Amino acid sequence: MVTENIRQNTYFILFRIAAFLSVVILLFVLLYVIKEGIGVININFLTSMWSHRDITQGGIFPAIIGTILLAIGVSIISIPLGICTAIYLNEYAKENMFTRTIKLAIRNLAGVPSIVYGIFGMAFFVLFLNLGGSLIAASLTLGCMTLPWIITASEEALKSVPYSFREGSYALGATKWETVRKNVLPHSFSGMITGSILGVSRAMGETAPIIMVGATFFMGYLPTSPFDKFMALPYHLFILATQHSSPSAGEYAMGTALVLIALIFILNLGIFILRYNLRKRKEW
Amino acid sequence: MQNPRKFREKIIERSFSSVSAISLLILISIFIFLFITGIKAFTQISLSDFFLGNVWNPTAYGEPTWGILSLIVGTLMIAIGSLIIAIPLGLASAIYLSEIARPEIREIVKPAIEMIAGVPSVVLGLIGIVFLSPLIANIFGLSNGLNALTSSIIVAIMILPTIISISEDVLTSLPKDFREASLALGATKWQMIKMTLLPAGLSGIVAAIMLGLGRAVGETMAVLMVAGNSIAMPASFFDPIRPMTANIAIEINEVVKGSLHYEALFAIGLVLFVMTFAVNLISDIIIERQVRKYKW
Amino acid sequence: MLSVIVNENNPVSKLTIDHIGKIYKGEITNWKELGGKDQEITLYGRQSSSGTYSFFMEHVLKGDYSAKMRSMDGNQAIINAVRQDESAMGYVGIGYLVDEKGNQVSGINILKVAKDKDSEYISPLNKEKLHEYTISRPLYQYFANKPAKDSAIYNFLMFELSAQGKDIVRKSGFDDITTLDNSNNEELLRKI
Repeated sequence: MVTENIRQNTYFILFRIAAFLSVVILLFVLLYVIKEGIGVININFLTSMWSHRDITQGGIFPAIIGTILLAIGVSIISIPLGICTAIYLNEYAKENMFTRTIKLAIRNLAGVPSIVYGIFGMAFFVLFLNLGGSLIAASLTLGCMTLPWIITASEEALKSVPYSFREGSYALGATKWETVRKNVLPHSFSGMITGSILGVSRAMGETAPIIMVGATFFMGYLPTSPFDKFMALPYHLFILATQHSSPSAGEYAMGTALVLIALIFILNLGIFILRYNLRKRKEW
Repeated sequence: MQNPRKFREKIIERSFSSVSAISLLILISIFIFLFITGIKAFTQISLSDFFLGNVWNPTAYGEPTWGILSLIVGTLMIAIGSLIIAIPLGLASAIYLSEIARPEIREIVKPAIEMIAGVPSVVLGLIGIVFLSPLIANIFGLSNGLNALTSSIIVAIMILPTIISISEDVLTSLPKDFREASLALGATKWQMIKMTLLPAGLSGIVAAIMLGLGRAVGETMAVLMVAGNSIAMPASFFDPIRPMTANIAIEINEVVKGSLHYEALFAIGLVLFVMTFAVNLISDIIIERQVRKYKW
Repeated sequence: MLSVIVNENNPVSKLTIDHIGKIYKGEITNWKELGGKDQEITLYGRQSSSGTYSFFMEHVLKGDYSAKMRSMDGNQAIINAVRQDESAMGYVGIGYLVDEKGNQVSGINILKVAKDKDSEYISPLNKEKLHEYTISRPLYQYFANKPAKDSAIYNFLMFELSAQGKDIVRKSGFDDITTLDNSNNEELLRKI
């Protein structure tokens, strides 16, 4: 028994180390980017247009705008679609071939490599539908990629509503849609939206799908229509890190990375806090 | 009146189900577009040249060669390398979070790990270039750190949250009776975990690993930046590799649309699609078995 | 124009075109064969869809690249790699050799290249011997249709050919077009 205890303690110490190692990795990534990138962060960096000849004179404002516009585009395209799909799967769908196929399709969409989405987006949205490299082509491409995440998050929100809520409604003679609309959606809507926004925040960091569908490294103007090309933070950072010749490129890459991470994490943190507060108010 | 209500209900249900079908449509469209472009490549490249040839040289001085074997090996090396790192680390963390950690610690550590999933791959690639690869080069006395090892480490970091999160979910969802029965028979906590929980949750954990595998196969940006991208067949993890994803990313931008090179890149995309589809299918089957075994 | 670069700690400072070709084809594999350290040469080049890749292959190698060459996604990626790797050799456009202020970038040495063993070894940064440097290629501009006179494209072309435009070209690290090119251009523009 003593040896068993020793063995257990050894393993448990190892497991504890493993878990904290994972946290340490995250902290390291964050701190490294902060340390290397904070030097270039200032008002000018965040609000000026990109300066091509001497990058130290300009800023990444158009890239920030581009990323935000993409996030909006992706949200418009995939959040309604995703929420409706989740409602169908969780409230209406019966156990049949159709449902199983849809679920299989969603799981597979989540596993498709990002570069494959990129070449699909190029072949379908840019070339076949002739949308050209543009905000709309990129939003559609990223939208396809984000859809499975939004569906999954929304399904979880719907599942968290106790079945008794629906039962009570049916018992009073309501139809399915009346039940969903009045008893299920109000309690799950915030969960669906917050989950979807988390999904969109992941899309904001994607690079491979947008390279071939309209992302540019340098444009002298902000996009004015959905058919314009655009700058975006992840692509900007990628080019700065690998292909730009300025001696400040490395530092600016880190600065761009910092802004991108900050954007994503602030969004995530905000959603977590929101959810925590919403959960406290629920009575079940 | 019953009929207008029922009619309206039917319309609503039909609308929802049609919208859901869009996901299926997207998946099919991806396959179709990959297929119709990629298949054209095989009118000029033989299947055996493509899959068994080990030199990818589309713009060769003489005859171009289209063998993707070394690319496939590159992808497989990253898959294996990252899993070797991420499985022990991930499983151990999952066990800790699910069985050992105090609830307060769990509340902090679990979201922290999920935040790693929020770090974009291009940022991890950047850290790989400026920090990890010089470090690896120093430690192992190599001339540079752009190789399979560095790539595996970066990809392991990326798939860690997936493996931890799902394994932890699997373990916590196992019924309390399992634990109580095992402890009642005199087992220590570790014996309970090892002999009762892990076998019971095995399928779910395997599914988590397969999902991590799928992500490792599909990772593009981070490996593009640190893999070294040489087409020679790697002899060890210290050699540079060119996984299929990186190959497409690095060549697709300047390739002539509609050329054989373009079609061949789509063919590689098709191979990737089929690989991740197969991995997902297998993990689906495994999950279904797990759910059926422990209906709770 | 393309320059061939090595790490700053590499003692080798000049090579013939033939040597460079052999190195990139994988026929010469160790720096000691060229009078350097006993270290295996690590090759960096571009990806196969790059014009630089093709040009270098056709003019310098006249054969296939060694399979061990590492494909980098851009000129700067090659410079970064060569900076970090003592055994490295790479090729980059000369525009990437100087920063915005005109200073040579740190960490790399630029090889002097000679046509053959008996010719002079010239550095690509040598402004006087620019036309004798062997690894250079012209860049062409293509348009879908003939631009109309006074259209934006036409005005841009005139700007490019003006003294101010040529100055910008030179500052970006490109070489002037030859007098023959100039007269060809004038003929084309007259047709508009």
